[in-house]
Amino acid sequence: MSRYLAAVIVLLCIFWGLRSKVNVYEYFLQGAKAGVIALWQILPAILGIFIAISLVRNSLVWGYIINKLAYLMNPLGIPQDTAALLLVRPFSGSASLAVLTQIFIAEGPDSQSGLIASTFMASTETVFYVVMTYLTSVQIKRSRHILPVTIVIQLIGLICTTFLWHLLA
Amino acid sequence: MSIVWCFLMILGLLSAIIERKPERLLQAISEGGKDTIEYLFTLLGIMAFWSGIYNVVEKTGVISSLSQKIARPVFGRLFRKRLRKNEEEAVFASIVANLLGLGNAATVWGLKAMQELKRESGKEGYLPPNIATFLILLCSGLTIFPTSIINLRAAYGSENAAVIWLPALIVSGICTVVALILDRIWGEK
Repeated sequence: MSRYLAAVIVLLCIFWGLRSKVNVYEYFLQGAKAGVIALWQILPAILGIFIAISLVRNSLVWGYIINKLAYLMNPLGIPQDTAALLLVRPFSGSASLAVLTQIFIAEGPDSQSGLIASTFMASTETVFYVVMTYLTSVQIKRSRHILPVTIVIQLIGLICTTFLWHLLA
Repeated sequence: MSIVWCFLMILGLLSAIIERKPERLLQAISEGGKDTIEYLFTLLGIMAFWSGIYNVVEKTGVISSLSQKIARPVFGRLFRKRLRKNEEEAVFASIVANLLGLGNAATVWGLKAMQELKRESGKEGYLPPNIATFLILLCSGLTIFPTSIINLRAAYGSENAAVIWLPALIVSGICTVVALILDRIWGEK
């Protein structure tokens, strides 16, 4: 079903445009131009985050932090291999998908870790990435309370997910 | 945000120096550049296309009438300062795109909403409370159907790929409520 969603939405939009007698193609181009400009503006922020992530992920410190974190999360019943997911999730959608895939390969999607990791992925966002690119796009430098709130909700998300699957399984 | 970036860079650089692998910086720079270009390739079409479609729909006025009916009563409670009509429409469209799981298309509409919210506040370098609430709402991970994760589970041989749907809905619901409460409390200062 959801595979057809995007196509159906575009179709409806174009029909709606024709019905309302607006100049569909002209407005499309106008909007497309704004989209290109917006992308151009967030590009440096994306480059910055990619470089930092690549630098950290290749270091020994990274493995050390993940081990420590897994150890801390153990008493809460959170599977060890989701520690890497918790750290990567805020920064990069593709990197966290890679971690999730590794969990699927190692333990299978229907294992306890697989279920917890996929639910966590499905119910959280790449928060740092979103905050950074969105604020950069309108030239705001201070993020005040946004980051602490996003960190807390990611943690709560992981704890709730774990709790829920312990109840269900 | 600046602190997070500096922290990551310092951590990565110190680690590279201590491990005697300073060339890792050059690697990271070229790798980051390559990833960004790859990202640009996939995103350019999506960004331009969905912004174009959004603009067409916006001009027909359908977003405006839908957002007045559905969004106005809800937004009145969520946001601290009353949203103007154009802000309300952009925020509404962006949240709908997120709920439908449209991914990068949602980013396009989100950036559009940011521009509208920013225009109303004016002042440079200051974070308006409505932008904080909007970003926190987006970050709380609300979604109706997590398509990509369910597809990935199926691709790796899950016997019931969609079993995570309800738990994900519950968890993101809890996260959204907590996020909005925290925004109210911590955003006051």
